[in-house]
Amino acid sequence: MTTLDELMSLPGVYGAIEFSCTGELGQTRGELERDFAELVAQMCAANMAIYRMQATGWTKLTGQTGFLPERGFTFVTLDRVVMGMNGNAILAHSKDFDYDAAYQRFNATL
Amino acid sequence: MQTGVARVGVIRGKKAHFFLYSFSGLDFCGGVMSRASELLELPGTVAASVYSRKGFIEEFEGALSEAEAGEMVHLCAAITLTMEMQGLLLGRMVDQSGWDSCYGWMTWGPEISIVTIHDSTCIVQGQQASFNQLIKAMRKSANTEIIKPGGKGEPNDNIG
Repeated sequence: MTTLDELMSLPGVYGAIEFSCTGELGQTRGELERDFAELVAQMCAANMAIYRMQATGWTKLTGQTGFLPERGFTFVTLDRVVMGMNGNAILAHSKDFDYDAAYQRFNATL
Repeated sequence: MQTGVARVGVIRGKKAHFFLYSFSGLDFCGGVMSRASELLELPGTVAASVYSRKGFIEEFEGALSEAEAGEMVHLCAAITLTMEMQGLLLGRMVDQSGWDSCYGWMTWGPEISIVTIHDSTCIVQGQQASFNQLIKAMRKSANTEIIKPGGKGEPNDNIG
C-alpha cells in the first residue's frame, strides 16, 4: 500500500496529494478537482517555506532549537483540515478527524 | 465584581514598544487561572500566549521571556492572517462549504510544534502532546473568554 493510500485510511480523510518543495502536484487520491489539488499543493509548499523562514529567524534570534528542519503543518477550519508532511498532504472533514492518529501516521512515513 | 483592569507594560525595550494587556476581573478575585496558565497545564505545553488579532500580547506563561513572547505572537498573528487568506482562496475554487472559516493552524518541527487556535498559541513538545486535547482545550478557552481581545466587552460566543 502506498503512503497516500495509507493516509486515505485515516478517519475523516477524503483526499490525499503529493507535493514537491516547489509546489508541483504529484499523485492524488480521492475525488479532487485537478485545479484545486494543484492549488493545495502550492499552498502546502508555501506554508512549509513560510514556516522554515520564520523558524530560521526565530532560532537565530533566540538560540532556541527544535523547530528545524521543518516537518509539517496543519490548516484548520470549522469543517475542513489540510495536513501536510514530508511531501504528502491530506484533506479531511474536521468533524471526524483525529489529529493525533494523523500525526503518528505521517511520522511513520518519514 | 471587578470586570477588567488594564495595565501598561513594555516589551522590546529598544523600541520602547508599549502595549496594553487586560486581565479578567476574575484573576483578582482569587482562584481562577489566566487562560495562558490553564493552557500551560496541558501535556507537552512549554509556553502559552493569548494575544490580539494585530499580534499584541495579552497573556503569556512558560519558557519564553516577555520579549520573546512578544515576537512570537507577532509571527503567529501574521501566519493566521495568511492562513485565513488561503482558506478563502480555496473556498472560491471549489463548491464546498467550510473553507472560509479558518480558526487555527499547527506547524511541526522535529521536537517542537506550534499550535494556534483563535487568539492563543501553545508551543509544545510534539511527542508529548495530544493535539486532539490541545485543540479541544484551546477552542474551549477561546469560547469561554469573558472579555474579547481588545477589551471591548463583546461576547466571544460561537466563534467556532
